[in-house]
Amino acid sequence: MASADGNDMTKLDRRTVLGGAALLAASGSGLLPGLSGYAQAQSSAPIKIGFQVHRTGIGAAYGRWYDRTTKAAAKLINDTGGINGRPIEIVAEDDGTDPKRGAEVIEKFATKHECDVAFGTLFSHVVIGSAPRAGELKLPYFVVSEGHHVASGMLNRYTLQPGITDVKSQVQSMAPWVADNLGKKVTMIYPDFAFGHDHRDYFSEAIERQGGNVISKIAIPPRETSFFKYLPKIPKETEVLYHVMVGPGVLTFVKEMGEYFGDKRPEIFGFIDSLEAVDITSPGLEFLEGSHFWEGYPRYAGPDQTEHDKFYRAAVGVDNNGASLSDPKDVSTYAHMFGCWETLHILKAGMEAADYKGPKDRQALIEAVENMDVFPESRAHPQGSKLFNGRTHQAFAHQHISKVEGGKLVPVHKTSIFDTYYEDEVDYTKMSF
Amino acid sequence: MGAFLRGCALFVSILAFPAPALAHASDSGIKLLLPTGYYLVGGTLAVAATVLIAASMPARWATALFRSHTLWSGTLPRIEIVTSLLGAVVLAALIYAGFIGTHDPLENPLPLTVWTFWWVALPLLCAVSGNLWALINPWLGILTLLDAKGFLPLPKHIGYMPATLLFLAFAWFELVSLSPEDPEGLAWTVSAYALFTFIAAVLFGWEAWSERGECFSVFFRFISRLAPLQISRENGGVIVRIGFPGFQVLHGTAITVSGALFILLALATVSFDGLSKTFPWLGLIGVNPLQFPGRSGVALPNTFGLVWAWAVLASAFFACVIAGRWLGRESDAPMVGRLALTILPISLAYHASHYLTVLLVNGQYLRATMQRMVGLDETQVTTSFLNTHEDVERIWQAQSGAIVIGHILAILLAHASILAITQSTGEATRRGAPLAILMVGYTAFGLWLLAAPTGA
Repeated sequence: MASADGNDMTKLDRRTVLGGAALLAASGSGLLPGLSGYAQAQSSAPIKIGFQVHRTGIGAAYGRWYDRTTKAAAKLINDTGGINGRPIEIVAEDDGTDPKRGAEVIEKFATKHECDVAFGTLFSHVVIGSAPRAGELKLPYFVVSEGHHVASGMLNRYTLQPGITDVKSQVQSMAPWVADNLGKKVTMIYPDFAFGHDHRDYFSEAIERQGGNVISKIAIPPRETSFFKYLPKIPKETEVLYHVMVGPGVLTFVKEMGEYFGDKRPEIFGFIDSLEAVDITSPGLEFLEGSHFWEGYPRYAGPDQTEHDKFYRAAVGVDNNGASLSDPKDVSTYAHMFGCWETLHILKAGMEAADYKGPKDRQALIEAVENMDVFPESRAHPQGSKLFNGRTHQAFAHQHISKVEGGKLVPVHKTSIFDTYYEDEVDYTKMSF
Repeated sequence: MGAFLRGCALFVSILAFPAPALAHASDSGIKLLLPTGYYLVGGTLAVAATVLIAASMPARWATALFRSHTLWSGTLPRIEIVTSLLGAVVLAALIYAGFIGTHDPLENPLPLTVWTFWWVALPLLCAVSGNLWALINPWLGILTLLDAKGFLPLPKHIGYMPATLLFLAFAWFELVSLSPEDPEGLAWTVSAYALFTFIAAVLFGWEAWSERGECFSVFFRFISRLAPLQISRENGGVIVRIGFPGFQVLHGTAITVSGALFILLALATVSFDGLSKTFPWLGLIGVNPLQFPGRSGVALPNTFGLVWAWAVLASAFFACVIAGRWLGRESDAPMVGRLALTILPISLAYHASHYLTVLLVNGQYLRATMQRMVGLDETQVTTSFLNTHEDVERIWQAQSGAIVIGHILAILLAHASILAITQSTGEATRRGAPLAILMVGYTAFGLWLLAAPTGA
C-alpha cells in the first residue's frame, strides 16, 4: 500500500493484508496491456453492465460527468483486455433521478437487456427505490451514491458501494483536523431536513470525541433564499463555522455571510458538494478565500499529484483545475465522479476473482467482492487506497481538506482511512441470496 | 409481497431519507444574485408604458404598423407532398432508432429530435419563417398518394376540442409522465400518435383533421402567424407577403372559443412547466425544494396543477374579454376569436425563454449525435455557461427580453385588433383595458418565474 498509509497498515489485520496483496495482483494484471486478450476468452460476448445514470431530472449535471467517467473507464478496461478476456458493454438507461423510474431501469437491465450487473447511480432516493428490485431480481447493484443507506443495513445483499465512501465517513473524518487546526467551538449551519440533520448528528458526535463541541446548531428552513436573519444567531465565541448549505441559495448564503462578517470572521469549513461544478473564482465567492472545504478527491492537481491521478485526468478529459479539457470553464464533479471509475475496476477485479462467466455466477461475484479488503492506490484507484468492509458492503477511503487560496482549492490535509471508519451496523454476508 | 415491500421502500425513500448534498448551485443560484427585481419592475413598466402609448397614438399608426407588403407573386411547384414524404421517411428512421438504438436519451436521435429540434426549436423557426410543419409533417404526403380525402365530416360544433384534448394529453406526457425522453417509450408513443392521426385523417380527411384535430398542425399554424413572412396559395398562384411580426394575426381569420382555449392551453402548459419547478409551487404541494423526489413523487399534484393553470389562465382571459365588452360604449361585437390570437406572442415568448437553456444544452447533444452518425469526432458537451456569472446574466437578459418584447407585441396586436372593428382609439383602449392589465400582470409573472429559485 502507498506510504501515505503507513500508519494505517499497522492497524490492519492479517486477512486484510493478504487480501490486499491478492487484490493488488489481480487489479494490476488486468491493467497491463497484452496480458489477457479477447482471443483467450472462452466467450467473446461482451459482459453487459447496466449503467443507471441521471440523464434527466435534478441529477443531470452529475450524470453528465458520471457518464464521461464511466465511458473513459470502460474504454480503458476494454483497451487492456476487458474482463476475463471479454469486452464490457455499457448499457446506459436514464433513471430520471427518480426512484420509481430507477426501479424500472433495474428491471430492464435484468429482464430486457440481460445485463450481468447494474451500476452507477448517485442520488440516495434513487438507490433506495431501486435496490429492493435489484435484490428481488438477484441482480448485483454497484452504487456510487455516497449515501449511508448501504452501510446502515437498510438495503440488501445485492447492493454494494465499494467505490466511494459514505457521508457518515466523510463528515466524521473531518473532526480531528478541524479540532486541531481550526478550533474546538463549532457553530453548524445546515438545511433543516434529513441531509442537514445527518451532518449535524455525525459531526457533533465526532467533534466531541476530539474534545470540541458544537456550541450552536442553526437549522435553516429549506425554502429560505436569504440568510441575513440567521447570521446574528452565530455565537461570538464561535471558532469554526461549519456550513452545509445546498441548493440555489448557496451563492447567496456565501455572499451574505461575507457582507455580515466582513474581515472579522471565524474559521469557515464547508463541504464542496454545494460548489461542485462551480468555478471557485466566480464573482460572489471571494469571501471563501481562506476558508476550508471537504473534498472527496482534490479538484486541483497539487505538487503531490500522483501518476495515477495524472493518468485518470487525461483519460476522462479533465485538466489540472478539474475542468474539461475541451472547455476550461466547464468544471467537473471531481469530488464524486471517480467513484464510477473505481467501481468499474472493482467489478473487473471481482469478476476475475470469481471467474465470472454469466448470470449464474452473480452470487460468486458478490462473494468475491465481499471477500475483498483493500483496493490499493493505482490506475484503477486514482483517488487513493481504500479499505472495503465486505460485511457492510461499504468502502472507506482517505478524505481531503482543501483551503481556498488565490481562487483555487489547495489540498492541506489528507485524512487517515481510519478516520472514516465506524462500527458495523449490519452484516450483509449473513443474509441469504 | 415483493411489490408491497417495493412500495414501502419507495415511500420511505421519498419521504424520509436525504439525498446527498448534490443540489449544487447552477444558473438558478446565480440568478438569485442578479438584480432581477429591477428587470421585473423595468420590464413590467415597459409593457405598461406600451399600453399608454397605444392609447394615445392615432388609430392609423396602429393599423399601419401591421400593414403587409407583397414581396413576390407567381407560381411555385407543390413541394409539400415530397417534403412530407421525406418527413415520413425520417420519422420512420427515428422511430426505428428509438426502438433499437441506444437507450440513452441524450445519445439516441429520437428523443433529441423530438424534444430538442421538433418541440423546442421548430416553433421558433416557424415564428420566423412560417409554417414548416405544414411541409414536413409525415401524413400529408402519404394521404395524398393514397388519395384519402376522408368520408366523415368532422362536426363543426366541436370546434378545436379534438386538438385541445390531444394537446392536453401531450402536455401531460411532456410535463408529468415518468420518462418522456426514454427512447423506446417515446418510439411507442410517437408511433401510436402517428397511427392515430393517420386513421383520423383517413376518416375525416387531412384538411379537416389538420385544421382542428391534429394538435401540432394547429399549434404550428398558430405560432406561424407571428412570422414576418407569409407564403400563401391564392387563386392558383403563390403570394409572398412581408410585414411586422404579427400582421398575419391581425389580418387572418378569427378563431372560435374552442380555438381560444387551445391557445390558452399552450401558454398555460409552458407557464406551468416553469411554475412547477419553483420553490413556492413545491412548497404548496408539500415538497422540500432541496430534496425533490422525482417526477413520480409529484405526478398527481402536477396533473391537477396543469389543468388548474389552464383553468386559471382561461378564466382570467375570458373575464377580461367580458369586462372589456362591458366597458365598451360604441360596439359590443364579440372579440374572443380576435383577442385570443393576440396571446400568441406571449406564448412564443414564454416558449423561447423557458426552453432557451434546454436548447443550449440538449442542442449540443443533438449536434454530437449527428456528428457520431456521420462518423465525425464528437464535440464535447459543455454546460459551463450555466455556472458562470456573465453567461447566466446574458441568458437572463435574453429570456427577460423575450418576455417583455412578446408582451409588448401582444399589447399592440390586441389594440390594433380592437381598432380594426371599432375604428376608435378611445373605444379600443376601453375595450382592451382589462386584457392589457392581464398582460402587464403576466409580464411580471413571467419575469418572476424566470428569476425564481428552482428545486426540480
